[in-house]
Amino acid sequence: MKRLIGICLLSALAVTISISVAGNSETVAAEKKAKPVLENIQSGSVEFKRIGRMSFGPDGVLLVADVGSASVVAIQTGDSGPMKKLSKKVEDVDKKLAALLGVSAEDVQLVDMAVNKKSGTIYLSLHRKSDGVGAIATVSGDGELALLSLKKASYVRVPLPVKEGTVIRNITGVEFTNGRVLAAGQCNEEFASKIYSLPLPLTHGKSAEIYSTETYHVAHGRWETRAPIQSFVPYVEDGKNYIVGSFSCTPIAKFPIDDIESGAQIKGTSVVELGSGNRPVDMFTYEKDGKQWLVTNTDRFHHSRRPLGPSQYWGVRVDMSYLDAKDINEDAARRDVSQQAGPDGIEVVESLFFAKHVAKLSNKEMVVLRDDEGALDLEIAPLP
Amino acid sequence: MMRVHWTLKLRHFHNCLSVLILFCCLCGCSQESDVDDKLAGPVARIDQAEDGMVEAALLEITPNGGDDSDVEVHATIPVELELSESDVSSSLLTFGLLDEAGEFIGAMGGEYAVGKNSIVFTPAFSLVAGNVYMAILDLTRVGGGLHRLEWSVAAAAVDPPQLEQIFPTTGELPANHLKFYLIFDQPMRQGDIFKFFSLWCVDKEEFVGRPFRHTELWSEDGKQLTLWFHPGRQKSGVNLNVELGAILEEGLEYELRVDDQWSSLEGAPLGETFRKRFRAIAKDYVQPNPADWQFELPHQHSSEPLLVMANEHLDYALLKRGLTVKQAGNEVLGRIEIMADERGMRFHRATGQWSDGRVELSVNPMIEDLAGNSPSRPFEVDINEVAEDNKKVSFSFELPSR
Repeated sequence: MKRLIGICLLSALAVTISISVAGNSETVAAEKKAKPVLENIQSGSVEFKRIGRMSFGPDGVLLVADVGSASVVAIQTGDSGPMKKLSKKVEDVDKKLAALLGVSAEDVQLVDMAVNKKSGTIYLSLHRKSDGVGAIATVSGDGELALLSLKKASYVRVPLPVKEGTVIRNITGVEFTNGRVLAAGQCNEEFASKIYSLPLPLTHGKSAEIYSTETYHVAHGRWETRAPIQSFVPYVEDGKNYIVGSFSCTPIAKFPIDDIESGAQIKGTSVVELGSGNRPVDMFTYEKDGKQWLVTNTDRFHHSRRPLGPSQYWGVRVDMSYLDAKDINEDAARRDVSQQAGPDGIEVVESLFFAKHVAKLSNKEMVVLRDDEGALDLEIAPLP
Repeated sequence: MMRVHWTLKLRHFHNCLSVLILFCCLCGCSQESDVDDKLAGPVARIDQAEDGMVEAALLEITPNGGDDSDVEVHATIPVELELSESDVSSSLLTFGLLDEAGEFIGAMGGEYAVGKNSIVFTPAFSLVAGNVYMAILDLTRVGGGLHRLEWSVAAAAVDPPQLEQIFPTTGELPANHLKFYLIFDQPMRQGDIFKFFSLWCVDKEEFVGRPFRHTELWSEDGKQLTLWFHPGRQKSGVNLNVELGAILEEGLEYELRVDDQWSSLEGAPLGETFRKRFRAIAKDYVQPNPADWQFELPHQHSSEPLLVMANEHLDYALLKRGLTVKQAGNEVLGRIEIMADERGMRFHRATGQWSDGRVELSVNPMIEDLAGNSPSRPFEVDINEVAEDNKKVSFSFELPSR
């Protein structure tokens, strides 16, 4: 009987689970709006060799890294609002996503999360381990899950350039910024980070205008490393463009990206040091009471040995005035790992404990994908 | 082998087909084996409802293109229900996975085609071998019954994967060693893989805590994984190295273990735990210097290989693109064979013979030793000291005559 009831309930839910395909009129409208962003738009099936990080951009365009093919895919979602943010917590979202993909929860890897700030719709990139197929699911304001149609998509795919003989095997971030898309990546063999600048409009198949740079990361007092950027946000200061990148263990540094030529090496300025044993996951910025804050959440992989709080997943906000640092900044501020706060302007965010992924919704709220004793819950949380 | 289980709660006779199927079942007809043996196709099993009433088979699952993992689910809406077009919607039909306990875990995503008296559902993804799925047609809200149909996708017989090689092959690694390359004979299952790796210290009889960098770096064919020790613990002075210490201690013996439960993309587990034993030797901070290497040149007018022998073990993957060869200003096309213990390269020209005169060799300045030092820079750079020391990587030799 229990099984029968379960079946009935799930059957009733089926009405909410279908592929979301923008109607023709919406697609046409989206294309008109997206012209400054995308060019030579393709229609048809989008396949990912290994789906990766995502971010949401203007005009309903979702950027998706395809790690397996070392390319960036921009999909016109037709999702332009109005705002209808998640009204209630969605529990066991990992199990619901697995059902949507027709596999068990253990057979799905939740890769990344992005939020359309215009609509509040949440996008989740998913990897089906049993066959390597990539998928994107959406969560609407009323908590309904659906698949983003990848078979009937409008998209462009831009390959990332590589030096002869090298292969990109990891794309750690992809973001829109002023007039371009930035991506960070890593080669298979070299422990070095690459930053890619893709000029707008993103044009299908066109990569000639993309330049790459190799970054140096200055940190840890005496020693210079070449660690790959794990997560980043674009940043503008005095009209100049920077990348603020977070690295394993977890220094945050900024890199100027104006006026650099293809193949150039750029040296970073250390901003703050958040402490060792952490793997940064997501970053975003927000403004409150006239003050700019940088938020990042991390996976503390040495939690069992040196716990910081109740969970290996934790987050911090950093006063962005720290980003004013110049040159190498060997004296970058270091967080006191034994304290919840400090130095001034660096604070552990309570609501980011247990957060596996986080994305900005507005200057007041964020979307949090939270670990709940092995299951995953999706909810809105206030920003501090 | 394709196999279908029909699990219909039947309430009314509607057509001859259902009568025929029911008759076969009640008479003990081995319809299952008939189909298995003769058609290798779907087989039917009908469960009669408790009240003994039956109705027509309203659900059908058909392979889409001959593969039982790609299907279409067809539902027929009985005309007797006299539903309007607005009553017939995708919400009446659900299709999804059954878990190991036989519970329906939820609806798969896919596309619906809804007609006046029919609904067709096409899953967005292939069904996974070894799993059982169920279609549910719920007409209880519109005056009908509840219909279910199971679909099993047979587990394919697949060979277990073989871990063919782990590089470096040497049994001695510097204590600041950085990475391994694992080469498999078939694509492996990706995602959340680091639970399958461990590092056992043989001398201390304990596992080393969290030694690996949790970033999956795969070759395009999914057969080669680059497995990094966490660089933050392998670099001098980096906070993790200071607070937790290096991963390897000079003089101690270790085992890199790959768990037997890790499976191939097709789902076959490795079957046995793989172990690579090695001893940690002194840390290596010295840049490879090709000027100290030996070059064994081919004779003019021969197709002999050109040998480059380093004086240390080098990175396997970078060796594969470690050398460019030119004659008379033109690149000589060929392939690089990696020498034993990754101590050098053997360049085989693709076609033709070496001509008279000189040969120009360029060693890839990014080629690394096992600790990440390259001719262009050491892995660890002291920013307070002079910039990197670029080693000579270009050489010119006169080829010997016979």
